[in-house]
Amino acid sequence: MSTIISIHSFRGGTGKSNTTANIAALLAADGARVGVVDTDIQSPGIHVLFNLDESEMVHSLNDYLWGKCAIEEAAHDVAAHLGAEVKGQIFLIPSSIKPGEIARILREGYDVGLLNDGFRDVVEKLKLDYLLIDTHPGLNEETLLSIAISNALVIILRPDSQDYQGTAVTVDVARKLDVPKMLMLVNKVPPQFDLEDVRTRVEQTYDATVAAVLPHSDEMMTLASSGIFAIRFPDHPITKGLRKLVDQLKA
Amino acid sequence: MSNPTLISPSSPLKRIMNAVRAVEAGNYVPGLLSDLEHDSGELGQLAHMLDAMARNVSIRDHQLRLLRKVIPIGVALSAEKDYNRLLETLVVEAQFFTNADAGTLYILEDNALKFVILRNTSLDMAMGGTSGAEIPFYPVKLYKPDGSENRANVVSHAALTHKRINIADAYEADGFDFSGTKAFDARTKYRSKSFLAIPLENTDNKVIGVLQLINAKNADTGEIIPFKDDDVLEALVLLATAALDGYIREASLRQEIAKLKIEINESRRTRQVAEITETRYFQELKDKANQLRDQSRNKK
Ligand SMILES: Nc1ncnc2c1ncn2[C@@H]1O[C@H](COP(=O)(O)OP(=O)(O)OP(=O)(O)O)[C@@H](O)[C@H]1O
Ligand SMILES: [Mg+2]
Repeated sequence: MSTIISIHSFRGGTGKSNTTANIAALLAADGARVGVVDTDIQSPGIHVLFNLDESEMVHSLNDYLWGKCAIEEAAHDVAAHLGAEVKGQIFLIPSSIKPGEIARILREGYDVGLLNDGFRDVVEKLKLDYLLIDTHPGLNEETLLSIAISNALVIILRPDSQDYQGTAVTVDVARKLDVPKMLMLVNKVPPQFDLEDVRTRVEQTYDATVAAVLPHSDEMMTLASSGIFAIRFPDHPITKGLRKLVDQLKA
Repeated sequence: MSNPTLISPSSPLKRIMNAVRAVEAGNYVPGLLSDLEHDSGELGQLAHMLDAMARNVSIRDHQLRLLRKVIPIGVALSAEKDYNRLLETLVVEAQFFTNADAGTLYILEDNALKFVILRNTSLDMAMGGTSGAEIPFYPVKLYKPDGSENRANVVSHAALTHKRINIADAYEADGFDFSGTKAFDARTKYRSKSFLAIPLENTDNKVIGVLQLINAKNADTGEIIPFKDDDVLEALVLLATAALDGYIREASLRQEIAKLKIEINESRRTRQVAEITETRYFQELKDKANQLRDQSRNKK
């Protein structure tokens, strides 16, 4: 049985891609076979975290959506890119980073239903235990689809007034789609906040489980998405928080 | 053994002995024996040596004061998080070193000088800081309602001009209108005379507060005298600026913590959710959602 997990936030820059990559690494460290799809077609980014160079990208999600390849042909084995041995496997399906291809898919659109087929195919073909979906902020059709097919949804927010309203809408929409498991992750919390207090307030406001509250971290800033935090800083409080999140996703 | 009665009170020897006592008591004034030092004889040499020694003693004394008082405060500043207490200590020490009857520390906020610490020995007042007593006085505004500068108070004058004010008698001072200061005195039944108001400027040359010392007293006579320059005071001013800076930073952090209020407009939320969920796409998706999930789950 495989589990599909969407990682989402209403606003951009909350840490979706970093969280997705770290969840993947932690799951793979425990021996799981993990797929990661970058559905942020407009502004792809997660390939950077896995050190996947443009020259190494054979096929992308765009090629699949245009019928140029099967979904598994766009999956790149990136376990060796982590900078540490992992027991399991990680396959990344990147979105194209070629400006022309991004422009084309935005202009022409694509059949969102194909995404669903692709997700199912890749889970089956690569015998995945988990499929992680890194999303584009907001609530567009592909995000709604991702949420609809997910067994678990991680909603990220920052303690920032700009995040609160949209997050409330996201939570309600996800509830209407009957997502079996919804976990919230509060990220980039400035040092002057009390993490437990933040957790309580967020849980009360959204009536949802907060899996972890992660502090803003200079190490994360300095790493600047050039690697996977949980691997570089295995004992850091952020890594501990991410582990808690992973444990709850597995439970 | 010399018989003391044989020495006349104004004799050089008597004066030298008095000077030695003064050195011992720590109130030797350099130059006390200057006329004797001109004497080319042995007494002159003795007076000269004594003066040199006394000056050394007072320098050492001074260094000791620095060592004993200022440095520990500096250390506390780097470790201590209780800025309120530090500021109080700094005001008390500044009063001590200048022998001032009163000391006040203001913080500049919203174009007004707000009282942080207020201490007045003769009125037996200690407010703000660790005293727990709220300071009941209104802040001193830097600008009048018509927008013009308010220079009627010693402290607002200092903050506006970025200049220290050191005056022997605020009531007699030429070129200042200290009506506000006089009004304050009338309210508190006090007579402010000698003033030292020091604007505290941060590293960006922004005035963040004012340290005000009132009524320096002659240690012996209690007479109110003008304030003198003092190295230790300068060190305390630097420390007070750093502590006030920390106090401001901490206060702004505290404010932010209080600000973690998650506000959601519920009617807008309902409307925004409806805008999404009432689309055809969403309805279809919802109908299929469980089926889609089961497909992926059971595929294996
Ligand atoms: N806890 C943290 N502390 C400090 N910086 C962080 C933290 N989490 C993420 N960041 C930084 O925030 C930036 C955005 O992260 P990331 O790309 O993962 O967000 P995203 O939600 O995927 O953004 P987008 O919406 O643009 O896809 C990155 O530079 C990352 O290093
Ligand atoms: Mg991203």
